Amino acid sequence: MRAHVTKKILSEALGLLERVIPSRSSNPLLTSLKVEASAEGLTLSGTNLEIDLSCFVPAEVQDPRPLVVPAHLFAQIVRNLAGELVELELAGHELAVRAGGSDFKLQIGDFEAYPPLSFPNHADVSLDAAELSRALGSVRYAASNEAFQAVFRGIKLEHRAESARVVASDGYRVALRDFPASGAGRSLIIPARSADELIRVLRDGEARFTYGEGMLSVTTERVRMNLKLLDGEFPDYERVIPKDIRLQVTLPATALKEAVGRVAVLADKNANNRVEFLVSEGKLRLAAEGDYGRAQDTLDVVQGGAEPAMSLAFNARHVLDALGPIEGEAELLFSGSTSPAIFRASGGGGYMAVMVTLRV
Amino acid sequence: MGEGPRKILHVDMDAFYASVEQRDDPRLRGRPVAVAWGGKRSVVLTASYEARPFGVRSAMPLYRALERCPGLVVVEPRFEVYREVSAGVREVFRSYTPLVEPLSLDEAYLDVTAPLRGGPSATRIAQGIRAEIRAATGLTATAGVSVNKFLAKLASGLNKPDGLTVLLPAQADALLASLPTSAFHGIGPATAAKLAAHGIHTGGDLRRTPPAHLAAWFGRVGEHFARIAWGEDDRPVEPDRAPVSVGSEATVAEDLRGVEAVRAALPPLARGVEERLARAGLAGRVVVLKLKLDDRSVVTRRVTLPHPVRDEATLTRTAAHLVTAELIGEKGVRLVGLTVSGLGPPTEPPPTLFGAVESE
Repeated sequence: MRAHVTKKILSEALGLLERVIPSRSSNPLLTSLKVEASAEGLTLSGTNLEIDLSCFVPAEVQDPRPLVVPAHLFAQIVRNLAGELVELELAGHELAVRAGGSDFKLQIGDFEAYPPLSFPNHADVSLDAAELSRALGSVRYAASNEAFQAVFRGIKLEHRAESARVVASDGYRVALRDFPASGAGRSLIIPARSADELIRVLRDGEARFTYGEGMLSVTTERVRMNLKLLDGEFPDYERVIPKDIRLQVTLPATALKEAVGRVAVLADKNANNRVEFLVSEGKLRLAAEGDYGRAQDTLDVVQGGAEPAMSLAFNARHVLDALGPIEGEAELLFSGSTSPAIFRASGGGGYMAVMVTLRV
Repeated sequence: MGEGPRKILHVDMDAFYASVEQRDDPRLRGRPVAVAWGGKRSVVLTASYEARPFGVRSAMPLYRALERCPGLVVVEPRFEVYREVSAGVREVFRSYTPLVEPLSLDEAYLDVTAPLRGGPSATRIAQGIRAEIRAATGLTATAGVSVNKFLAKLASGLNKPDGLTVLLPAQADALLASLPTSAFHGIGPATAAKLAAHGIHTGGDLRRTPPAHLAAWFGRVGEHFARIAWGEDDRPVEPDRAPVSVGSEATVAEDLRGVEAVRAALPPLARGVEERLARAGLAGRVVVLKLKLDDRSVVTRRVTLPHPVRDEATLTRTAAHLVTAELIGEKGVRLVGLTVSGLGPPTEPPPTLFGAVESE
């Protein structure tokens, strides 16, 4: 086999695969990368048994033959090459990698022993890749990396009539985002770490979903992925979204982010980074107090609702996370000092964060 | 520091656990006694002075101790009693100075440069302390008196048991020059071997080695070696040095096989850790599981929790999640350890979103 391929495109594909393929494994074969060649180009694939990933790289190929190579070494070699065009040539048990004046001979692995990776050829439903990526990206922070309740380490994807929704929670807050979608999709829970990779590969165009047994396959123009899904019952998050809004505050999201960031410097790390919100007479007063002193900040807000004033406390980290995906005006909806609060973009946009209030 | 040399004591209870047992059970007096848990892999925690001529030492495997001393009486440890006695001893210390740095239940450094009572003579104070310990507990203690921690510790080691040694810097000078490096407190067997590989066998050799070389070989502790070779040590006596972590581990008599067997070993460890954290008024956010496997490999797994914990149930549950089939595979488990770090004052856990709503 002999192939000519653009270094930039090959590097990009290897960059995605490098994140999935383990650098060490009790099964050393899994540290390898499979290269399958056709007249149109090369298909590079690998797995960590949670995620199977396959990327297509257009190339000029002669005498196509499949092979496996050590993934991280191959990626490192390609990344460091000078020049714009890479030549790959399989000769005996070595893959030659050439560019500019460089010439590497990399030992290949046992192709027959590598686990077969199969990706579906049909699609059950199709979503807008950019919308899906943005939605996953804006709720990812709320999923836990550590929590022992497995479902909190995942992002739930729900299909509705004309829309889809992603939801994440760690038990202390919920983040969700609705986005337009059609078709009869299923509800499922994607591990947050797999969602991270999905966000990375999704660009424009379509993301085609195929449902399997405990598995979701996602196909885009360049990339195919099989994702192992999480089992379990996602908690009934709709129940914790307050319905009876008694006070409402609107202000520029950036101003609030900056002010919370300022006062949080003195917040007590041992008391959940507590920041107090006091709303009255069109002002939002923020206050934090810790072992080393106390801080206050006051912002002008547009205030609405039946209640004239309210005092609440939040974890500053949670507030900053919740505001992350909000651009322009933020709308804070409060139903009481001890009830969860809603943060969302003023004028909709499908994103919403719900978070616990700390005891006053 | 004030002017003039400091007055530092190192006080060490003689064969502490074994002496307590001999005190409480007259049948053990005058006989070789080892305090150790029963079981095949047990090690000697303390040997009485009657057992030492046979070559029985602490940290020696129990079966070897029994080989060397067939008449050895083995007694199970009673830590609650040792802790009580130790608290009595510390009361004596604290009546002389607030600057008490306990190293363990049976050892402490005291800074008596400006004592609360007992007059200006550190030797007199050491005599007084030994007499009061004997009166209060019926046990003997050995004291070393000098100008810093290193020399005080060296002094107490010169005349055991029931001894009192004053080591002035001038006397220490000749002693240190001929002292084998392995006898320096702070230089363990591994470091001594490394020094020997560089041709350094005694304090005299250490003095002839440029400090920069020691620093290059051992890092910052190498600089400490260069100083103690001259009997210099400016480390202060640090009362109530805050612990970095609190842990407990147990070697098991029969290798544990399977996840459930390992999990079953956790509650007693968690109980011990909770007890010690509670006594220190601390809790921690990081729970670390340590396993030693039958191929002698040691594996650790850790998890960072959103807030500090210390109760037995949470520690057990958290550590149990870290015990996975993937981690131990087919291997037997010889030792199980549970440690809590990231210590700080216990705080109220934040309210949970779903829990909070459920309880309303």
